[in-house]
Amino acid sequence: MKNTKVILACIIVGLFGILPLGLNVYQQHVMIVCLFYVMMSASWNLLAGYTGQVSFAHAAFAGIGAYTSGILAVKAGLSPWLGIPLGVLFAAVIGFGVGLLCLKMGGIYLSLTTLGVSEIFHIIINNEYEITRGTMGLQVPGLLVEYSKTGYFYIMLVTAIVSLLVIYWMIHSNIGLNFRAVQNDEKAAASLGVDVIRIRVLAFTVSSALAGLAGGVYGHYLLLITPEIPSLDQQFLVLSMTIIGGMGSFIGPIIGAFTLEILSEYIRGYGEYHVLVFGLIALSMARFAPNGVVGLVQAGWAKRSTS
Amino acid sequence: MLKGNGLCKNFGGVAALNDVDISLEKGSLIGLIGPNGAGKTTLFNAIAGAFSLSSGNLEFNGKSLNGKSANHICRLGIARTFQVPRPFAEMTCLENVLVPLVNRSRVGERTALLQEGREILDFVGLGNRDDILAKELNLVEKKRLEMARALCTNPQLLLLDEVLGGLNTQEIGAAVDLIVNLSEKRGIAVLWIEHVMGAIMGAAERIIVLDQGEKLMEGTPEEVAHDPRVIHAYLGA
Repeated sequence: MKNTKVILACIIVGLFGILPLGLNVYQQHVMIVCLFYVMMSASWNLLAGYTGQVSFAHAAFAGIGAYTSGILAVKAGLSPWLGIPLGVLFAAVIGFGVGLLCLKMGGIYLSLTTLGVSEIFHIIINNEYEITRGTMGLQVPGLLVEYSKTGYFYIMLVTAIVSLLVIYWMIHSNIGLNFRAVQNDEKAAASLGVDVIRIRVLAFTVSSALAGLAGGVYGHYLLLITPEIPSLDQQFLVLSMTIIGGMGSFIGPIIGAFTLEILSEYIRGYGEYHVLVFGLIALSMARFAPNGVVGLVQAGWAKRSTS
Repeated sequence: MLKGNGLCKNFGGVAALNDVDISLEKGSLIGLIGPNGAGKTTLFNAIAGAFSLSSGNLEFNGKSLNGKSANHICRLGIARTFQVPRPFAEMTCLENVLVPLVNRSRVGERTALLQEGREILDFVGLGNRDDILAKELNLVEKKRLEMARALCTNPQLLLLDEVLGGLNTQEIGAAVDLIVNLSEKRGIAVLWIEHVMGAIMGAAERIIVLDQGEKLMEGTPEEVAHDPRVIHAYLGA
């Protein structure tokens, strides 16, 4: 079973490795955006799906990663290859702080607090025009000397795989077990020796750092960092991808990110109506498959094996 | 091993615990009884670190427990069960017992821990339930799972909060045997809250009676059963 999984993962990664050869520039762009959302959804899922802390500040952390690296590049001439790790570090530090702030909170209170944190960042970015260029966006240098979609595809692919490996390792280790124990019942977990404070803050820090990484790489691919990256629209898109894919499972957010991003490209032609289509999909998933695509497949498997 | 002096806990203006002294020796089996609202579970919560005391001193093996967090106290060797079972509902029984196992100070290989987890599930009578989600267990099984998880912390002191409620006569007999066995064979001290008087009077060496937050008396089951103050507290006559 374990071997089949590894082989399957290798085949998928291998297919992704040769994928850009068969795609035109536009399709390569869509794939890069997909990979960005894979990182965002998977890291949000680590926090929301495994420890039950439904944070609305995840897109803000992508923004922190992107703007840290972007500002360092523009103001200090620092290479993005150094700026992005610094952005990750800064996102981790802020994530640690927000995690501490939210320690005594759960459910809707935690969500509201993180919503507030997210708005604070958004307002700062919009108003500190001198530093962030506000809504105009910050023009930043790229990661490659010569711009190449294929090159960026591979950078994004490697970053996404590293992020996913970190997440996979975490949820299958003792840390992941403790995450789920805390999500299920904090008091019981504490009474059995789980250091609840450490576990909750750890989840926030790692998840924020991974969002910072995704945001940083994405920003230097777009060459223009705008307040769109840390926006609530972005946040809710990531949330929908995770929930529609299957929250609390490793593969769910990956499926959700690809499905929704590719779908949104297809229905872009409908203009304003594409929001309506999105809403309808989210609604029908919530009604008929509350555990997402993964839940649907699992239920199908269970039925087949019993009949 | 456990010493408490002058334990007080106030909730607003209500004194849930008022100047309670308690002392427990290694391997002893002590019953804790009293009418509803007497402060039994409050005393448990204070010992296990679910909240801090208003005043008083708690010591375990010479170390102060004051201000220590619940997980820290668990690692010092005190485990508890909850009156209303609190299983990790969306996790399997084996995963439920694995949580305390991996958080114990003496960490071993995952396979060895899984083996130990299965043995303990077997020991409490959940041997064929390894892969069932905890939410699918019935009440009796959930209480057994509480016990199994507490045992997996490798405790020196076990706080049991009404583990017999909802069990039939036969099951009560088996559970009492199991608890007596823990204290006699494994040397685990047990402090046991119970409303099933027949069971606890037969098994406990000594009984502590709480009433309205105060320690009414402490003595052998025989002494307690015939004490007029205890009869008065229970029957109000």
